[in-house]
Amino acid sequence: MRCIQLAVAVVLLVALEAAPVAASSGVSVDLGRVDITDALMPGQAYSLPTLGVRNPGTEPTSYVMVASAVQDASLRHPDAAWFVFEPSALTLGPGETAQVQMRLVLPRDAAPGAYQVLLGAQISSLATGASVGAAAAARTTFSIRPANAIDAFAASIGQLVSDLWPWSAIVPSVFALASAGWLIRRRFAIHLDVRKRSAR
Amino acid sequence: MRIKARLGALVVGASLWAASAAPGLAADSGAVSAQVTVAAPCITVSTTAIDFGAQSLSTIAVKDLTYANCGPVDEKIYGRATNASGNSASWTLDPAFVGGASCGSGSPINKYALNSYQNNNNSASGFTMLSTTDQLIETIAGGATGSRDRVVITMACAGSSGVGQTMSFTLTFTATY
Repeated sequence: MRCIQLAVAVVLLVALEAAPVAASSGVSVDLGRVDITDALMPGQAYSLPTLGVRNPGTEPTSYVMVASAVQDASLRHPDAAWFVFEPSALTLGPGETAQVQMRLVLPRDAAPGAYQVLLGAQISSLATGASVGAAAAARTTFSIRPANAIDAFAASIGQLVSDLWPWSAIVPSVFALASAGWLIRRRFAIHLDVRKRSAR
Repeated sequence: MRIKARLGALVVGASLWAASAAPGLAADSGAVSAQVTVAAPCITVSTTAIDFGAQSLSTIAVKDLTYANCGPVDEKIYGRATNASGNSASWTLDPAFVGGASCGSGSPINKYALNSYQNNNNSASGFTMLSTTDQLIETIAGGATGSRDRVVITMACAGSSGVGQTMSFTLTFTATY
């Protein structure tokens, strides 16, 4: 009788060991908060700290990077389009980690004030119906200072140069060289004399 | 003549400045000073899809849904959801929407509500009506499971579009500090 009880107990233990672990999906990021202390200027682009994304679940999972507004009456909500993620989507196996570059590109008409946003990775689902998108995010705060006329003009020039790159460098360079050549020719007389070497 | 020469020098100088400044302006504006909290908000969910099945308009349905903090320290859980859309129908998520038995003539149509709910807790701390903006649901301890274990959908009132269609929406729980 005791042998039977022992055998049953062993079988139960083996069965418990072999029981499949419940699959889980999840996400983790390696930054909890990012508080930008510099006042930012409209029309400029800023590199933000790199965000590490990890899959803590037991299944390969696809993620999309998101910027989402937080309900807080005292702080403004930035437009999600201001944030650029590289890569913007990724798939990680269980325990795997990837680094995501984040940039904040402020439009020239960004309103001054204090902002708050959640920047993070969200489980992506292509399923129809009700899908659940768990996300882990770094709470990010920053402020935009009012642009004065000179700052706004400089930012506009900077944005124009950025938008037209590399022509924004090539065209002024060619113009500068041509102007320099013209100036040199006006100010200096350059004589180039080529003669045949006399025979010895 | 002298004025022309000075003007030319000015143009050359401006052009050289523009060319030399271009790489700096084209790239990011420089380093940003920031205080960074190195921590690891971490969340797992019991499922990534919920099947409410076929539901009638003007009804309420409940499904299990749990989430857990897979990190070692306390973290905040925020919740939000999207509007619902079908092939030719869309419902607006409205946290103030009261449907179910309250639906009647004059009730708003094409609106619905989602509620992150703690079973057997009817106090104000036991539920959160979700909106499209992240709002705080609760703070949970490291390694602990969240207190909310149900999702309640309040279907749009009769007269709304979407009958016979699968309405799709996303419910998101976000872990942060």
